[in-house]
Amino acid sequence: MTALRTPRSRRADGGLPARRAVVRWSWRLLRRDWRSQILVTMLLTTAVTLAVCGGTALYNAPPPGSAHLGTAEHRVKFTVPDAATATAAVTALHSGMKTADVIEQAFASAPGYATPIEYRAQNLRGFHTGPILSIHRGRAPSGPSEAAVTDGTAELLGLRLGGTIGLDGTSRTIIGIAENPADLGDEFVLVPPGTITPQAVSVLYSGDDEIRRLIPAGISLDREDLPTGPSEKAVVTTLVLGAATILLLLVSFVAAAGFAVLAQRRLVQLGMFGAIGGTSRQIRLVVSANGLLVGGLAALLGTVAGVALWLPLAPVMEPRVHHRIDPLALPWPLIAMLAALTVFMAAVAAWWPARAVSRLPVATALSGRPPAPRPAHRPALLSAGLLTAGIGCLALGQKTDPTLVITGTVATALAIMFAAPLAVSALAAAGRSTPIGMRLALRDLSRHRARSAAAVAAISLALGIPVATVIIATGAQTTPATGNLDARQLLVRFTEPDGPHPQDIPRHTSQELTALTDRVNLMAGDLPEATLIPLTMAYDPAAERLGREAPAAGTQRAITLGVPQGSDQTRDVPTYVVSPGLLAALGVRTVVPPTADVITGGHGKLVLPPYSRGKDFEEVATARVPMPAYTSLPTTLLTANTLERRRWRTLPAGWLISAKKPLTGPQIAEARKIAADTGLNIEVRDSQQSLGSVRAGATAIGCLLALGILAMTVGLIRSEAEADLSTLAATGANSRIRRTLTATTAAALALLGATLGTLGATLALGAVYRQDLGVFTRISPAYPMTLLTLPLLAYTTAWLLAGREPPTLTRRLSD
Amino acid sequence: MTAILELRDVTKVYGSGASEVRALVGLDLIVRAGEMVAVMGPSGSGKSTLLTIAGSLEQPSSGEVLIEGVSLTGLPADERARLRRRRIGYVFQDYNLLPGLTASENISLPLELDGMKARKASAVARQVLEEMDLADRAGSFPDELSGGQRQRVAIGRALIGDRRLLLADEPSGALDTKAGEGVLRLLRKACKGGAAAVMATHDAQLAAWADRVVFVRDGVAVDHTSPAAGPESLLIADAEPPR
Repeated sequence: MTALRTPRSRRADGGLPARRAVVRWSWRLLRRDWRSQILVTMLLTTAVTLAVCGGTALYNAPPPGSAHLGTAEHRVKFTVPDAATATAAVTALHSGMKTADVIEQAFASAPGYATPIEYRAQNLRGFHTGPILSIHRGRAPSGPSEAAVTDGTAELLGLRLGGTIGLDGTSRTIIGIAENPADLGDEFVLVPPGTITPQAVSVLYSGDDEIRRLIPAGISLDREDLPTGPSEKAVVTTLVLGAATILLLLVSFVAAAGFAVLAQRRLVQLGMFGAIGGTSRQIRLVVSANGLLVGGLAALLGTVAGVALWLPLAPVMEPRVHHRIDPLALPWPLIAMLAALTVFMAAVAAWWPARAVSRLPVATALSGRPPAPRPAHRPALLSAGLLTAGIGCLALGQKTDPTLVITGTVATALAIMFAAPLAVSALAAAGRSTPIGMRLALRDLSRHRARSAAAVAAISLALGIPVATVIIATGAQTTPATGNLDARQLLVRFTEPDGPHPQDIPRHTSQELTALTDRVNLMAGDLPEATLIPLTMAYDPAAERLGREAPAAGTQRAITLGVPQGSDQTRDVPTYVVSPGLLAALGVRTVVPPTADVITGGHGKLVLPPYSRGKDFEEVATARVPMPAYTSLPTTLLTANTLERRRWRTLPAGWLISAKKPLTGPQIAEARKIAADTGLNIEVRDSQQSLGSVRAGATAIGCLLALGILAMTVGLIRSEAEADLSTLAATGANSRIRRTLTATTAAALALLGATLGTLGATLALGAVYRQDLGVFTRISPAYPMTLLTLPLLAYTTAWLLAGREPPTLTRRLSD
Repeated sequence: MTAILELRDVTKVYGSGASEVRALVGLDLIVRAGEMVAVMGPSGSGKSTLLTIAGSLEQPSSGEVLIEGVSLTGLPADERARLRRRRIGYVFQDYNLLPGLTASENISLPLELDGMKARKASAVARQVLEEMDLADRAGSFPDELSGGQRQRVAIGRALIGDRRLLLADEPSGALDTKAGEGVLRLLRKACKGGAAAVMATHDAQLAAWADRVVFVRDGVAVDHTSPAAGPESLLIADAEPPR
């Protein structure tokens, strides 16, 4: 056998060739046993898909740079006093700034609309205008008799391609639909440069600032610069990576259990590998490489699936984010980081089982027997410590400190995992006096504790996450006495409460007000026995004289009190004027003290913002009276004394409609229609249906995941007790025993997982909601019932399936 | 001749207290180069424990094990693994080939783990397969081979490189008589090449192939004998190996 004598490398660990051989074997095993790793791979793939698609969506949600700068670094806008000055300025800018884009703007009134229509003379192929101007349909205007309009303008004025527009006195044919891709809410009429008499001019440019010398003296410039500091994209990238890390961390807990089961399944092979000279490091590499390969596969599949999901999502997102999105402009660095994170997390998940297997004596591994279970008290003590720390962090975190909340969540999750061995032992001890089938199954779980505890930990996490989701969603769900409004109420406002200037109330003539009141009466007429309560706000006629910022044209700035948020910050509180009708609607019976400036239901200290710079906030005398806790209801009311003392005046601001019964869908739809026709804003009770979907979805996914983990582990645990079954059969046990063994194993794992998961999530969120423990009483009984039925479902399914001998077992025995 | 394997007063105890089991008790054994020793005994007598301790898979509770004069006592785990890669070859009853690796890759694995490049290791494995008359099955996976072929691949893997000690635990236990004889013929051939072999069996006919038989009972070596000329003396030198 001369061929058998061959000189070899003297390197201690075999170096790269050895690692290559180990990874090759690991890859072959993955290909061979791919079915047993489907669940882990699918789980990781789903996490990556969500992270890639969600991350890409979030990344593309902010507008690309400035919606007005294009590719320029600066934008200067100025108003011109007359046509001659405008012409001179534009000519000077064109000749003085060769690479600047000069945009001329004029404004024309449209009959029946308060906001003027902007005419914009802009070069479609300017130096910097590419990202902020494009033709959506048709073509760009090329002569003085042509124009393109935005979608919104066309809809507002009832225009279409081929029609004409002549608001500025010049009739032009509509030959295209234009848009600002960076701001789809930017409405204008596009005309060729030099075809309008500008009232304002905007200049886009980069580099040196020479513009001041080109603009006639006396004209004030409104300047916008490219923002410096971290961009929104960078912030989003950081946030997405943070969220993905938490998601993958939780998924990797489940994956770790999967890898542990797989490592146990390959124990004999790994023992043989050790027997022919594989070092413990190389054995560790076999299992770790499997994790890396599964992670790599999941990263690849998840990235492809995430991108595939994103492509049809991008156009759907555009109207919601108000800018165009290029579906192919993917954030590749972010995606690459997510993929790398997935591979890393999978490797981390495989590391623990790899370490455990590599520490086993080769002879023990060769025997295929699981290692003798370690005493459960050590992990139990560790679990108690981690649980205490986790709950402490969550309680201190107060739902606001992300570091403490994340630390608390991870510590609690680890506590659940370390509690699993004790739970398995305890159940086996509790089942000592059960019939033989059950007793044997529970004892086997305890004997094979290393893997059954891993399965319990994985199931606990799979169920703990939905339990936590249900509790959090219930906490966020409003009760009949909380939320924005009562289900019988409808709030009508003149302004959009989330708009840029909600305190600027439009001024209406008495005729306009009468017309609006008629329409609101019509709205209330559709509702059962509705009461209409006019709402008024206050304004200070002397505000402008005292130096306050002027409100938008055609509006009056209402007095708005603030809740102090810091040294010089306040949160605005919609502030109405008290009226007997409103007090009656709010159920206020208390006599208001004459010294009170304001009565309020929920706020403690209220301040009046300073009128002019340099002045301090003025604290107002507040009287707290019991009022409903609805957040949108007018519950901060200025008293008549205050108005008189401060010489403030009132102005109509809307109506509160109270019906006898909750509003129905058709009634709300009709009210919305009337509001849209009249330019009013209405608000009704938020139904929060989406939170119900979140709860149901999380529960369903958790249960499916738990059943998947059960399917993966029960077969393995039972097949290894096959010898016991043969002995039982030889002593006269029938197939019922076989079914009982498998069914009890499945049910016990499900029961322990459901108990630990629920307990961990409840304790953790009990700390979070310790001041509102009523959250737990508001949880629908359907969710705990679902968790209770899981062990029953596992028992029944396993009972039915255990009748047949699994084909894998036959193959196993024949190998 | 040089002692390849030496066991000095080796005792192995499993468990403790009431559950204590003494698998080997004060066992002494020396196996020299070119020698083939059969270890016989009933089930549970300690045959397999002897092999696992001799092969550095387990540590004795007391006593000393030397391979080519090097004591295994206190040797780090990685050093023991390296010793198994370079000096010790195992043959088990149930073949224990690694699934997922071809016959050629199974044989070349110890060389690759020791740092030899895959192509070179594969060439060496191919030579071994030719010597085992399995060259045409180089690319076959274990589950595509017959029992005899699998065991021959396992022997090939145990012999490749500079292995000086072959440990075989019931190497023909799962084979028919003809295939079993083929396996033992290969072991004898390796011994003639200078290796030492220890074979655990409870088949007296197979033990007759050995130069010496050690009887073990309750962990104690009760007898050392040299068997009478056995079936090996009847073999034709270049008989066809089994399929």
